Amino acid sequence: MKNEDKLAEIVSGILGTDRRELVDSRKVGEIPNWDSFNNLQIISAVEEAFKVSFTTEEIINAVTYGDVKKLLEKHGVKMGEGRTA
Amino acid sequence: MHYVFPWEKSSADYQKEYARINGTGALSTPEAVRIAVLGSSTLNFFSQVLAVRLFESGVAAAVWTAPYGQVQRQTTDPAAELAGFKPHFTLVVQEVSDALGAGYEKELQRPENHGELKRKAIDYCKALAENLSRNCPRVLISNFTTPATTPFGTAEGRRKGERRFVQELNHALADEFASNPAVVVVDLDCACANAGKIDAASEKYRFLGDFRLSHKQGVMLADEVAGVVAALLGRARKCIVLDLDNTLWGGVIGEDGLGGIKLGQGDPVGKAFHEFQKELLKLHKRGVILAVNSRNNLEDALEAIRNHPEMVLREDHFAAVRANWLDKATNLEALAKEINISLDSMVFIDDDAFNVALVRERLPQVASILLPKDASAYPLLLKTLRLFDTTNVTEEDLHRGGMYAEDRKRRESEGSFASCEDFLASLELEMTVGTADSFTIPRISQLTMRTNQFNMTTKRYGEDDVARMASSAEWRAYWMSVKDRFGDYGIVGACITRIEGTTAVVDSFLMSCRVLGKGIENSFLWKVLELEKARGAKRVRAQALPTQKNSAFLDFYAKAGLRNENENGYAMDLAGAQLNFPKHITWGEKSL
Repeated sequence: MKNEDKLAEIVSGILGTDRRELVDSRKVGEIPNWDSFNNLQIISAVEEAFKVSFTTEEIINAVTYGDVKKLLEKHGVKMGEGRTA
Repeated sequence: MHYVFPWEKSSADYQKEYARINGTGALSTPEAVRIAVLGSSTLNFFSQVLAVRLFESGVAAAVWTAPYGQVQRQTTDPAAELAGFKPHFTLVVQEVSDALGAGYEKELQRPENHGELKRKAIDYCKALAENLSRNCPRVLISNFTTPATTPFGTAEGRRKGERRFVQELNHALADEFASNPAVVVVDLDCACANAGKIDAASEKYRFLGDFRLSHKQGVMLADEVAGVVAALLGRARKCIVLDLDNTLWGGVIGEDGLGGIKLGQGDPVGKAFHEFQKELLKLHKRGVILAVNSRNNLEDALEAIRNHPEMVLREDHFAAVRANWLDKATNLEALAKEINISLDSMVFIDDDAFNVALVRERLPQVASILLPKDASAYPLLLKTLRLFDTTNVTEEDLHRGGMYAEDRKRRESEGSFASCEDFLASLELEMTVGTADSFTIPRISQLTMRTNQFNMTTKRYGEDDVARMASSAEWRAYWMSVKDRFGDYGIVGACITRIEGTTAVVDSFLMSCRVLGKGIENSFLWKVLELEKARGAKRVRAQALPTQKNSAFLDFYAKAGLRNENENGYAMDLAGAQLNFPKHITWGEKSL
């Protein structure tokens, strides 16, 4: 599975939201069910799944769904690849 | 799937599982147990883990997390959401600052203040528990987390800093509520310590979202709470059914022989099996029943159990042994009948994926565990399995294991008598009936919690409920104990009555299934009716309320000669009633 799909699966699984809602440009607060509580749940699940660790600042600054992807890329998780963590 | 330790599953696993279970609607039915969680840190995720862990042990629970940091408001404001939620259980995850205020650290710096601060914290907990008890039958409060680090370093012990203070506070808290059965103190400190109090990865979540429990700590606390909740609901498991080959020892006895199996010193794998047996023995000694379900020739199985020098568990520790070539589900059903307990109080442990899959398919009510591949994990699995919790350990618990072995001998002797009457007479049954006092209240409560089959109304009563009845003029709580020439069963029956004018109402009548079929149930009922008559009752009313478990015994009152008045109601006039006490039962010296 591509990392991009793996991410979408984790996020939609936690939110109980359709994957089509996950649009890169969308602010996370505008994605159904993505509130401040779920946000940290998602971040910790993503860290766990991809074996990465974001800094506190990085987490605060991830505003859109695309930001989360970029953050993963920055930590070496290429969205288009299928690296299994 | 091989067994995975609950804390090894990731937070994403739990979230996915919670979403799945919640999606089925199982957690929002009217039957779901309602649990409220309060605390001053973020506990929403913990609540989800708790719901998942409970669901995995067969309890569907709606777990509601109070808005962040609202312990005071929720417990004192009748308009707060807590009152509307009407929880069956309320859990408060506490912190020292809740009890002593935010500036407590400064006050703690002087050890001479510790005594007063401890009292202040205990008073806070007492008031909190009392407030919560008003709207919720069962209150669970956590103890406090002792700090992982201290500025004093090694000098902490001498200096008596915060760590020492919290340790002493936790002991005082446990003592304070030890005699208050309405409140259970949950060991948060132990859960946090077991998970690890120092976890660099979860630090940022404390600052980002005020998560003060790490994922692992949340799971450990959830297990702690789930154990208590299952116990209070009467859903604790009672019996472990064990495979033999590669479960109690390494290798296959039928092929490797007595000298070839791995068990005991001299071999790391053998040591793991040995320790696993030692842990089983500990559970046996606290009241968990053990039985064997193995695909083996009976002679081979018994040879190892009787003659292997390193066996910890011997024949006397098992309530029943099934070693044959039948399938394991059939054997489990036979074991349930033989030991006289229901399938949903059994845990089945096996190393073979096929057997476990078969049992899961045919008998989903049995908790089936497929052992991990490495035997070194077996002892820890058993030590962390919170399926056997009871809120109190009674005298009966400590002797139960031996009692079941006595039962096996009774069954073996049964075959040698020509008639049932001869057999019953040979038992030399002696029965004692008494009313509840401080010694017997815990056991009466426990019986109402644990008994599912011979239980006419299946009402669950805490120790506080029974104590209230014992001290009231209208209510009476009776207990009944039995012994015979094979041993002492201890207290195995309870009956709760209420007098309404000149009518005695039987609120509860229940007995452990182990003593059924010996005429004891009738004798107990007659004795209660005789005693009720003596306190002025002219008539008795009773109910047999059907549940999924008690259908086999619903005709008890009818068979005993009570009139069926309406659907579930029975009655009898006591004036001219014939109370036919069975002749083979004598009364104990201390019996009423």
